[in-house]
Order: sequence, then structure tokens, then C-alpha cells
Amino acid sequence: MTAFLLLLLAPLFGGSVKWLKARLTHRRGASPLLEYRNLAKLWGKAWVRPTLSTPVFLLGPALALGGALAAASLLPLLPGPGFAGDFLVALYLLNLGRFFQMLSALDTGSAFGAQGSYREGLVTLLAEPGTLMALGAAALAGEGLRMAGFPVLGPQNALVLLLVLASLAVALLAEGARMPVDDPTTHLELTMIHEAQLLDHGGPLLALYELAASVKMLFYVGLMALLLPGPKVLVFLGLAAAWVLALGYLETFGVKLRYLRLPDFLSYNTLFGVLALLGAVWRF
Amino acid sequence: MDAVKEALREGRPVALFPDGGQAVLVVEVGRALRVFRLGEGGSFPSLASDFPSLDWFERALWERGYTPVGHPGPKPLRRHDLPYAFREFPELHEVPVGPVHAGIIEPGHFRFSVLGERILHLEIRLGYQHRGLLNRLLGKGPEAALLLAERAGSEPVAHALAFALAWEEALGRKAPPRAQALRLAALELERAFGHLGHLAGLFTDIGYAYGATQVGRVRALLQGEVDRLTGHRYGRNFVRVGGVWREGRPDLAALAAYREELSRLLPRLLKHPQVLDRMRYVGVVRRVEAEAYGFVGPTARASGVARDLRQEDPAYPGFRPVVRQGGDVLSRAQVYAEEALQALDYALGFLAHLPEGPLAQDLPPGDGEAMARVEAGRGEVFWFVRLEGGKVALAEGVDPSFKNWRALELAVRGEGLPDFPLCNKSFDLSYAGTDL
Repeated sequence: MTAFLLLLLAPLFGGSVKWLKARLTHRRGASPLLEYRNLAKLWGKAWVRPTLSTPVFLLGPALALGGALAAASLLPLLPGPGFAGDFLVALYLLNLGRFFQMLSALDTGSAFGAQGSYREGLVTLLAEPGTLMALGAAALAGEGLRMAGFPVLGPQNALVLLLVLASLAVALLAEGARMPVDDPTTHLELTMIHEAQLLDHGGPLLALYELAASVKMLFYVGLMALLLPGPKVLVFLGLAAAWVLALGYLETFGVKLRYLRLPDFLSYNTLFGVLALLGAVWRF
Repeated sequence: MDAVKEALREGRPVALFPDGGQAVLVVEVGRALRVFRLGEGGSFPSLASDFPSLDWFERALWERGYTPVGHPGPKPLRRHDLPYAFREFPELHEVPVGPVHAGIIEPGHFRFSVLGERILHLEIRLGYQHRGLLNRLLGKGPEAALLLAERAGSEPVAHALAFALAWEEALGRKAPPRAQALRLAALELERAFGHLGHLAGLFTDIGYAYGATQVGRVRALLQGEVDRLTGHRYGRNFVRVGGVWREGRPDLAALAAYREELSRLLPRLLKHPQVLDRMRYVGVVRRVEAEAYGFVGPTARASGVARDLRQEDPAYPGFRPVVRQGGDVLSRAQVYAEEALQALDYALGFLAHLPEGPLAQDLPPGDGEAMARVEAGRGEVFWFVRLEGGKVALAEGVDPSFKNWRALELAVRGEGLPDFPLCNKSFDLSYAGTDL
């Protein structure tokens, strides 16, 4: 159920960020709904596979979206399956998609695919522990180790949950390949992280990747929505709108970080995660 | 030979071109030009091992059939039918980039030797836009020749102006005063919007969308004024041999307003802490390197070399070149910002005090030869023409980019691979101008 919601909203989310960025730089901007037509257009195109690649090339886009949707289906915004430790499964379903995305980029044998893969590998490596600890902290502070049992923000757990939210915010920027971690609009191959992996994918394959990127970001927005009080779906929609604003401003008035400074930025994610976990264990 | 070495030690090469089996070397010593004729019968002694600034010049001559005797290993610059061996480092990873790029930019091949993300060596191979322009010029009259010369590099006004000046001097004539002032106004406007283009590009490359669009907007408006003055948004078909073709009416009040806006906007953008973090100490070209390799224009001035051809031009009394000492991307950005304002000031000055008189005079066909230099946005544009009966018998042009590409190879050493596009944009060199 939640997966359908996220899939439906994903193009609108990406399109809205683009529209807001255009407005903020004094341009008229294309309609946020254009993204749906863009995906339909990509879907209708023919696709090609590099002659030297293997079918793994196709698994990348398929599993990137598949993994993201499977993870989203576990998100208890709407009624759905849930079990102890489901947040771990969801996180690693996302990583499964990423793993095949990296394999798929390596499979092309191009220098840029490999470069994008090892950079994305590094970003994941740096972002994963913090996110995991933050979610663990949320689970420990709640009832049962499942996402449906995550506590909501209140006076008793404000410190821990705020740390968890901060950690998830950094993780969203890293996993979604947005500024200041990565510039989704750049055409400069050598600065790319995420986009360098997609250079050889076109048509329907690119459409799958673009959908997957937005679904992944919405998954993190959903995780954050779980921790806020109020009706889940409404909170989720409100939070998604807030993230559109945040990303629009960040990508207009902010500057992309130097690649070699990424560890500094992502270490905040780890720091928040560790502090949240300590907070949850010692109950302060 | 000793005189040549002495001159090269003090100055820098301006041009090296073939003329009847001899190599003609033009060297700038102090502010004066000295001309040497080297070798005979198609071979000349190579000086590239002592003076790296001559390396590309000698290679360009080598692929035109001349022999630089003693060159350590000539490789072609523009001809892709000749074998080319990249320097190889077996222990390093090689990243080949281009000549086809992901964005809409000119073609060039960059071969990086990297250790992890760190660039230890870069070799640039160009020549994908070689059009045989210098041969095409032979036998052309003033109008056809200027049309070609104007399209040599990325700065049409500067190339057309240098070519027209050389032609006029070969015939011992000068353009009327009003035409001279109009030409310089167009040149300064070209410099201003060119520099703004470099700055907008720099902001785009670091993902600073606000900075890029703000600078890009003023740049587009400025190009509108270039269009009003010259009839073309890039100033093409404005300068002619003997004067200018037309005179338009740019809006001086608007130009002054753009200058005002830029003087507030640019310093603010270049003080953004994240912009400083991306640009400062990145892509450093040291002053000794700039002098040894004979870099020109903003590239040299950002590394502390206070040289600008406008210093000795009587049309610019009391000219002070914009100089920065850092040699990094930020220094070059600061030079662009300050020179753009300075260029607008001069353009406004020229346009506000236009001398009366005709726009051009027709030059009779004649014989003669001369060379001329113009300080374009990217540096020194050089043209040499020899006329026989009003037609080109020999022509040679050197775009500033030809002298500056090596700066990029030096600047990226030790930098991370992801910072290469930023370093590249900070020079923003012309591929077409280098390939001719």
C-alpha cells in the first residue's frame, strides 16, 4: 500500500524540487507534473545495452526500483506487513538495489561507471552506520523492534528522536544524491557520484533509475514521518512538502561540497546516530 | 643563438611560424617585440628543452613539415593522422575523458594518471577542431580574410581587431579615430561579457545555481547591448579592415546600471563561505610556472604576473592591470570579476567620448607585412599578415588559449579528480582557437 503511495508521489516530488529551483532563480519553471510525462516518454523509448555488458546491466535499474519499492511496502504509513526488525530489512533492501546498481555500472566497463560506483560505495559506507544506529535508537525507545512501534516525538524522548531525525536528514541527502553531497543537475562526468552510474542507461532503464531515486528519498521522508505525532499519511505529505522546500533552497543558495570533504559532512550522520543510541540505552 | 636564448630568458615567446624554410620566432622582451629567423631549409634548432614555453610552438611547426633539431620528442598537436604516444605510468590508473563529453562543450581529450582520486599527471590532446584556417587565408582579399580570422577563436572582436590592425599597418594606414574608439568599446564589452561567462560557468560547476543565474542574467543583458552596438550578440561582422562596418546605439544608462549591479553582486557572490571553500587553494599555478611557460592574460595575472597589453596602449592612459598573487581558482575568479567592471568602465568611457569622423576608409591594395597584438579577454591575440597586391601571401594567428593550456596541466597536479572541471572552467580556454 505504502509502496503505491510512494510510487505515485515520486515524480511529483522530483518535479516540484525542479520547479521550485527554477522559481528561486527567477525562471518560470516547468510544471511539477512534467515529470510524469517525462517518465512516460522515457518509458516509450527503445533501450540499448552496451555490447560488452551482461544481463547484470539490466538488473541494476530493475532492482534499484524493486528494492526501493519493497522497502517502501514495509513502511507502516498505510496498513501493511510488519515484523520485528523490519527496519533492518527495509534498509538492506535499499542497499540491495544499490549493490546491483553499482554492479550494473561496473558491467559497462566504462571509466565513469566504475568511478561513480566506488564513489557511491564510499558515500553509502559513510552513511550506513549512522542511519542504522539512529533507527536502532528509535526502535529501542519504542515498543517492539518494528517500524510500526516507533515512538512519536514527545517531551520525554525529544532529545533522542531529534537526533534520529537529524541523522535521517543527512542520510536522505546522501542516499538521494542531492546537494551538498552530489549535484543531480551537473553534466560534468568527473564530478558526478550517482549520475556517473547512469550514463550508459537510457530510455526505460533511465526511467526506472529516476523513479527509484525519488522513491528512495520519499522512503526516508516516510521514516521521519513515523516519528512525528499526527495522522501518518498527512504528516508524511506535509513533511514531503517541507523537504521540497528544503531541497529547493539548499540546491539554489548552497554550494556542492568538495568530494574530499564528504566524510566531514557524513560524519555528522554517524555522530547523531551514536548519540541517539546512547540516549536510547541510558534513557536521557 | 645566444641572443635568442637571452631574449627567451628575459621574455616569453609570442609566436613561432614558418616562412620559406625558416622558423620566425617572435619574442616579447620587456614590452617590445624582437623577431628572430631560425634555421634554414625546413629545419631549425629546437629550444624546447630549455624553454618549455616553446614546446607546443615547435610541435605545431613539426607537424607542418618542419624539423626542430633536438626536440626531446615531438608529438602532433592538431593532426590526428600522425601517431601519438601518451606518457604512460604502469603503476597508476589511467582515466581517459573525451573528446566527446556529456555536456555541450568543445571536444578535447584529457588523459589523467590518477592514484585513487588524486591526479598526478594530466596530458591534454586537442586538434579535433582543426579547420586548416591558416592555409584557407592564403590568397584572400581583406573582406574574406577578415571573415575567416574573426572565426579563429572564441573572441571574434579581438581576433578581427588584431587581424585588421596587422593589415592596416602592413599598408601603413590607420582606421579613423571614431572607428578606433568604437572598436575598443566593442572589445571591452566582449571582455566584460566573456568574463561574466567564465564566472557563471564557475558557479554552475560548484552547483551554486543562484550565483550562476544572477551572473548569467546580467551577461545576457550585456550581450543585448553588444548587439545594439555591433549588430551581433557576439560582435561578429563589426570590425573591418580600415574601420568598422556600422555604428549602433547602445543604451549607455543601461550599461552603467549593469555595472552598478555587478559591482554589488560579484563581491557578494565571491565571499560566500562555501564558494571560498571550493575555490581557495584549488588549482594553483605558481608565478615561476606562469613565467617559465609564458602564460598570458588573466591566467598570468592571477599568478602575480603584472602584464597586460593595454599598459602601453595610448588609448588607455594610466592603465593598471588587475593582479592577484594566489594563482588559484579564486584568484582567477577575482581577476575576472574586477576586469569585467574595469572593462565596462572603459567601454562607457569610449562610447561617451566618440570622436567625430567617418567610420572607415577604404584601403588600396598594396604590399607589406606587419604583426599586431590585442589584449583579448583570455589574453594576447597575435596576428601576422604578409600582403602581396592586396591579397594574403602569408598569415599566422596565435590565440591566447594556445599559450595557456599547459597551465591547466600544471594546476590540476595533486588535486582531486572531482575538482578538475572547476580548474578547467577557471581558465575557460578556447579549443577552436588552439586548433585553428
